[in-house]
Amino acid sequence: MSPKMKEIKLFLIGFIIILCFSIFSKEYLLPVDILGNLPLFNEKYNSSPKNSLLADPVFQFEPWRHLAKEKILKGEFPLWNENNGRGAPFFANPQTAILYPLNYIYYFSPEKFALTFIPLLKMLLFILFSYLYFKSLILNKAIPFISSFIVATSGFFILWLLWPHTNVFLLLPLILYLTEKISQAGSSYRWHIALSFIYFIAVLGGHPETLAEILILHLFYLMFKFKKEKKRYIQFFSSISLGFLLGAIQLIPFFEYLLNSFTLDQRGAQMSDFYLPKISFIMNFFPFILGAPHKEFYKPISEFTNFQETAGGYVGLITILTAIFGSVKWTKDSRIKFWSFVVLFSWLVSYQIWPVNLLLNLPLFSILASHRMIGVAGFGLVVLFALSADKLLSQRIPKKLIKNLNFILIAVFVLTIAINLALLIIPLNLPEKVNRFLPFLQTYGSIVSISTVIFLILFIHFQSKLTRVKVLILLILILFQTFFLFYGYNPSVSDNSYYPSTKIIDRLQSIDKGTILNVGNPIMPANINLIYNLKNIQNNDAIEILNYRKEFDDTFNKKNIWKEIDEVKYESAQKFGISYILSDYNINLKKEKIQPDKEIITSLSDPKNPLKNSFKFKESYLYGIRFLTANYNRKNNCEINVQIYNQTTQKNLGEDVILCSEVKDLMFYTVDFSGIKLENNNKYLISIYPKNVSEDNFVGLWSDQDRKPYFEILYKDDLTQKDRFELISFDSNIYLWKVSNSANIKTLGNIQKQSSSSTSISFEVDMPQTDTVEIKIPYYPGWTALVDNKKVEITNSNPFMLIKVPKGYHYVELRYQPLSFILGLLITSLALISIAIYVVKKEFKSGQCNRLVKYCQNINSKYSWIYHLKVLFSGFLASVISLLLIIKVIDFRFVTPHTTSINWLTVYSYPKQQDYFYFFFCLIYLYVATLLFWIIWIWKKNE
Amino acid sequence: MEKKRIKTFIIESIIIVVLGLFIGTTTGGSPLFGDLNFIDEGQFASWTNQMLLGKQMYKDIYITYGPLFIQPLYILFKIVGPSAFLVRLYLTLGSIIGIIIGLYIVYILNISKIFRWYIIVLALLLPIVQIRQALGLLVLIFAAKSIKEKSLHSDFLSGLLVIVSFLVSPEIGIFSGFIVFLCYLYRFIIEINIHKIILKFSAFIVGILVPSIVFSLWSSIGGWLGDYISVTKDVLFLFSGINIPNGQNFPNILSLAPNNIDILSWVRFVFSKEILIYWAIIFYLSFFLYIVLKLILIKKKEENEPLIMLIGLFGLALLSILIGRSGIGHFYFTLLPLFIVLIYLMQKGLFLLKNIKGINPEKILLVLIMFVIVIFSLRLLLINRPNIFKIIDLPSAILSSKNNPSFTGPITISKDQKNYISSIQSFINLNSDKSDYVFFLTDEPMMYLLINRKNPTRYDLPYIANNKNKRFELLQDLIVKKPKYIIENEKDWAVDGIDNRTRLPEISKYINETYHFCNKINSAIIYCLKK
Repeated sequence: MSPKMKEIKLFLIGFIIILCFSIFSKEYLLPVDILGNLPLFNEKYNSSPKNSLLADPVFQFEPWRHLAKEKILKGEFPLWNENNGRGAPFFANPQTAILYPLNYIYYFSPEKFALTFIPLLKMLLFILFSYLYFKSLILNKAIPFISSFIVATSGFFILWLLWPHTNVFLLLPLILYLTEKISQAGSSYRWHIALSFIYFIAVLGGHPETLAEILILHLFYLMFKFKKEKKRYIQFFSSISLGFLLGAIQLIPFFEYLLNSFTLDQRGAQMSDFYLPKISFIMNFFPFILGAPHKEFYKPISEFTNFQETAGGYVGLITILTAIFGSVKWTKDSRIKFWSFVVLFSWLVSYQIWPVNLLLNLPLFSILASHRMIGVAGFGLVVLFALSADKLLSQRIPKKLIKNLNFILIAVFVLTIAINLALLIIPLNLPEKVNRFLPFLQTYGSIVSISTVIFLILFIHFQSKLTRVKVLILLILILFQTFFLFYGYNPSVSDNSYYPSTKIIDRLQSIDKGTILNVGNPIMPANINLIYNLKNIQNNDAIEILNYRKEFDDTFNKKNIWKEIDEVKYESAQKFGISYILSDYNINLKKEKIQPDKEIITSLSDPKNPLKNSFKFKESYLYGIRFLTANYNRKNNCEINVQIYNQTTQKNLGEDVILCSEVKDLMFYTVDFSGIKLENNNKYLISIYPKNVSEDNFVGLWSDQDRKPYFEILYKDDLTQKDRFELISFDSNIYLWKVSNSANIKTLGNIQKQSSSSTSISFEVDMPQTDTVEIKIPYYPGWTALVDNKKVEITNSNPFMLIKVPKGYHYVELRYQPLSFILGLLITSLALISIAIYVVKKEFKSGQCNRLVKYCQNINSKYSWIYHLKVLFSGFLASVISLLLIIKVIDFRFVTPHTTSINWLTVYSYPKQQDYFYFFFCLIYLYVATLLFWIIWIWKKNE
Repeated sequence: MEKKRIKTFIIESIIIVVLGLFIGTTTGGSPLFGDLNFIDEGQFASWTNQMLLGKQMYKDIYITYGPLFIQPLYILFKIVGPSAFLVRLYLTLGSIIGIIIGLYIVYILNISKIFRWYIIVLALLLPIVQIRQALGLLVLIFAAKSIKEKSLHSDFLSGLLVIVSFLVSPEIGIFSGFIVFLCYLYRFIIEINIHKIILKFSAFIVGILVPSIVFSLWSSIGGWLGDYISVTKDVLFLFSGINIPNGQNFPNILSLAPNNIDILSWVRFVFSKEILIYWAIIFYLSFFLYIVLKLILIKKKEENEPLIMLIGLFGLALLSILIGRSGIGHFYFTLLPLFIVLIYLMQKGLFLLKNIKGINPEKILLVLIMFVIVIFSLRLLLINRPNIFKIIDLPSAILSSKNNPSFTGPITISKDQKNYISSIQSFINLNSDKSDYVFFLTDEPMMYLLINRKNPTRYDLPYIANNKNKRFELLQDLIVKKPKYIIENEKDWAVDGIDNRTRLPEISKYINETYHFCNKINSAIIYCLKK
């Protein structure tokens, strides 16, 4: 078997393994248990999340994929998300990665399978592409194999596996491999076309920032590779440009969205603040020094730089040490020089070190999250490792040096063992927390040091005699520092944990569909609603329509620590057409912060030591007290008693209980009191003490440095005042309110027969006079309005769309038909056609068809026309039978599309698209299958 | 062509003209005989007459065809005066020209006399040829010519004709243009001399640009360019998909097939109207398999192969119309290219047959294939012209056409139709003047010409206004222009069996609320505006 066939076989085995694993997996490879941090899902998760950092895949990417799948299966192209932010561009948001090839698996297969299969396939592809690239660089067969596993099982790739970043990042080695191929094969157009397509896929991947980083690296690489062949730059420039032209379908709508976005407005207005703190550099070497988010212990290195960001450059200690050794030892090797430069540059960018930080403050660079260049640094380190290891294997190491190295390594090994033993024996008077963390750190340190030592010893001894077993041993040792350490970082969950339904969600699904506003705690954060087919007033898609977001922030300007709306006025809710509100407190009441500081967590573990805080208040009726709770990442079943005491009259006014099981970290909790009258100038005391607590069963409250808890009081001035929001459900400290008279359309007229689809809204309106009608969809390019089939101008009511409708009874329809998408589609199609023509023409020109021509002429002289006819007829019959079987087996289902037309099709609810599908599918199938039958028959016969 | 062939071509063309004018070619029958077709002929009659009454194409009238199909009739109306006879004559002449273009193709393909006459008879007896498809075929003739010739004339002309064809019928223009474009693409790929192809393609583009510029100037001076674009775009989308006004399901072969083994039911099934579409599909599949095999096996290339391939592709494109509108009328509309392809194959078969001596399976198979084609044609003839021999009544009928209602012209129509038209004409003439609007709720656009009154809406065929936007547009026009009478024919044929009261509920409601019954003439109910 040729080496190429072996590699293909190996890849196929890998593919079959992950396919089988995904098919038979009983769990969803998605950390949905993170929802357990939200009060809404309190009852559904019995334990704390396995990894609290992986929020975006659960809060954004999966709901988006879910929506895309729903629309695609309905036969709609998912251009617009009508369920968030009163409507927002959906396809134009690149992170939805709707056209990314791997996502098609999700659309057309069960979620559980796809959610496991896609990330694993991403890893496998990354291994393959990295292997191809490393192989193109070095001679040794084993090194590329080991290196490709390192790069795919560590740092950036594992940490961002569930993000679209890795959709793009996995193409980096392939781009470099193609560049190498082009440099070897001269100016072969096939490799250039392949490069264009890879850039096209990278555009569809869903992360422009990662693409920008890859592009920058690729440009550096080209400069390094072809510094003496400047003519080649034009060829590469053309193929990269062609890739972007192919991606026009995604890029043009994205740029349109970006230019109208809140994000650009925000990022453009400030200096770049995307960088890693310098202290976090240590994480490149020892990422678990402060614990691991998927293990029991974890602490971020600073408040806003979590593990995801800081450990992205980690590729294993062995790799780093070898890479550093190589870059110091072989300074004259141009490839090592280049990759050392890349690593250094990426570090300078990620940590914003002078002078690179000056560059990053330039307009275009300032809006990029450039600190993710740390991933490129990691990749660069693996390349350096591969190059250095290759060189090490090709050089004979003097025996004396081996002896010395052996001695040092064994010494380190013994030292490690000794330290571990000492830590076990010698009692250290460390704080309890540190004491509990120590075994973790010990294990981690031991694994890293021992595997490093053994690897280096074996590597030196195996030198140039690498058999398959030896390679496997080395690989396993390296995997101890990457794969095994990160194992479980992306956890999976069981069937019933996949976006479970709750009482409140059931209630929301059972009532009229309306837009929901979240007040107080992040009860149902934006985008999760997509899973449950609900609407949320906010659209947390990292871009957001500028005027909508600005107006929203201006209207709902009181925000809390979660950046969620903390107070809502009835008028504001009506302005935005909000139908329902989810809150953690009674929003009909007034709210006042009494102690606003939340600096430390004060534990409520001692019943004898209650937390106390006093306050004075003018005459009014107290209905509740709102705290900011804390827990310690675990389930508790204790209770907290809250008492109110009038210090002036020395009367106990009331008490209530907080259930620890409902306490979430950094979540507000409201204790209800039913209308306690507060007297003017009287002094009141709040006393909080725990019940049923034990060592591992207590919670806390966020408080100021003096242990005075953060708290707000909820009161009512006037008892006769009517409630403006109607309570329709209450469960586990979550209130569900209905906003009366809320409407999606604001007009003087009478609205009837309102209907909407994802890209249109229509209604009949009886106008008493000519006036404007406000449709509560954000003003955004691509929308057109028709009144009685006549186009009318849409104006911006800031933030919604406004049209003028004359007096009388009219039919109004608004449609989203973005020119940007059509233009993008046109450019992509033209680019594809041009490539197809170019390729076919080139192939014709190159005389590839000559062999085929000769073969066919040979066939022609052998058989009579009646023979061909017989074969064709048999082929046709076989095709018809197989077609009937396909139609029978695959249960194609079609639903009647949304339309206002009344015709035979709609009267009889006939899904017309099935006619088009069957006509073209059957015609093409019969034709191609018959022809294939004939080709195969004749070919076999001729053999 | 040789001189002798030119002579026979001219003689055969004259015969076609004579037969066409007397026997007729369209669904209406002879230009002189047969009831007026209130929809197919009516729409042309109405559009042009509304233009005479001061309305503007596309802006005030929703026209589903191109302006070049309407404008000549409008000029004829202006010169001769409007009449239904003129409409029929105009359409018949269009079909006759179409048949002659078909005949010309047959000559180019060197089809033998017997097959030539076979197709002429079919084209005269079946309503398969209209000027629309023939123009598409004309485009292909020049496209095929351009492959053979070095000069750029054919390229220029095919470009020019693509636009002309588009301005007559957008669908046909798109199909023919697309096929020519594919042809250039193919040549661009296989030709070594790219400059030549680029030059030829440029001539084709110039051919497209010249009439486009002239048309743009004409329509923008007339102030209807924008409306033309928006209506044409709307029509193209309207007639494909769920919003189609006049379309049912594509016949499902699996549900139509008998669920027993009774031979008679199976014979009926195979020869049923619905299944004939599948015959056409199989014919096309066979033809393209033949062509591809020929290409693959590098058989000796024939001179006229490109033309027949282009015609086959054009026929297949036409066939796709049937996904939306699978009725037999539209099926006929797609048949001209198929018949050209079939007689081409039959000629090939006959040639092979001559070379096979004795009786053997090959010979039997060939005869069988040709027999199937003939049976297909006969079945089509049986569907369309069962009363062909009524033509002998023509002379006596012509004499009785003297007392026809006004605007009818010298066409012999049935007594019933004559009564219907006359009674409505006299009611309208007596009770309204020319400035009054009259609206027909049922699909009888011919009546707008016959009563010579303005339609208050853009829709002469109300069923086309089937989506809510159009329904409300129509409603607004009725509200604003307040037609004096709204007429509804109780016996009118409902498109796809769904009457306009069902299709246009808002209009129906408006009529019920704002109008009241005031007269019934024959089957026509006349509603008057409530005071």
